[in-house]
Amino acid sequence: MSSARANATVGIFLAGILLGGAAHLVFVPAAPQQPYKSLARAEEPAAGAAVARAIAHDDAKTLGRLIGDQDLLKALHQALDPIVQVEDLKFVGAVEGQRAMSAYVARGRDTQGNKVIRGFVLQVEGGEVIGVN
Amino acid sequence: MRDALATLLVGALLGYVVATLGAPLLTENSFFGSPTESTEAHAYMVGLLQDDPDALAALRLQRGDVASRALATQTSEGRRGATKPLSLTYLGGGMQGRFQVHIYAVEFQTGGRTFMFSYALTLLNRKVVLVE
Repeated sequence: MSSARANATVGIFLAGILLGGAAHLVFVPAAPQQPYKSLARAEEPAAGAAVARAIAHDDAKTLGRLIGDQDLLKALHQALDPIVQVEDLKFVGAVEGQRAMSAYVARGRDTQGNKVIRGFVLQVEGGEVIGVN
Repeated sequence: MRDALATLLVGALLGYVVATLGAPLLTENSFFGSPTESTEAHAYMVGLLQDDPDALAALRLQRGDVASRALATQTSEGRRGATKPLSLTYLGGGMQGRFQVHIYAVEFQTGGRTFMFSYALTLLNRKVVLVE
């Protein structure tokens, strides 16, 4: 087989791959329409970021200072449960409506050492965290 | 000519299969950062806002017994019209092994007042196992 013919075969094969990929885009069903509007994305609220930093650094003293309300701390405990050791805490998005909502994903380990992932939202109003979900 | 067509066809089949298998990995795998919104999580949230217990049961890992699903239907019919969903916003998510977490913010209107709630859905094998 000559070099030109080999190159042509490879070229046709690659063109076929592209054609197949394009066919997938054409024939795959479109994503369902979003029947509700979406709120505009917002920056991470500073109060939420401070709380997230304290959680990520396992800094109970600072966390207790930032969230004075014991019910909120209990809610945060429930939101993280069963994670006892946070290994990674990532801000994933925020919206601003009546109040700011700042979402986080925590990865860590439970008491048995199993890897666990949890998601929670901090509600921020007036520069303070006022709710955890 | 026949060889060229056969080569093109084999390439096209391979391209289609790779695109079909690769698309969900690209959108839902954390290899490229945070996963994008899962179709199942989105459908669950729409079912939740539209009070559709059948759709919700189909997307849960444990579908539940017939009596509990009937109870959910009754509850949803009693609630229908009382609250009006205004917006549904995907905030983001993450992945750990076979588990995915997807977080949403929802605005409701009840009695002329607007409320905001958040939902964190945990999915295992593309089925909802936890709603918080």
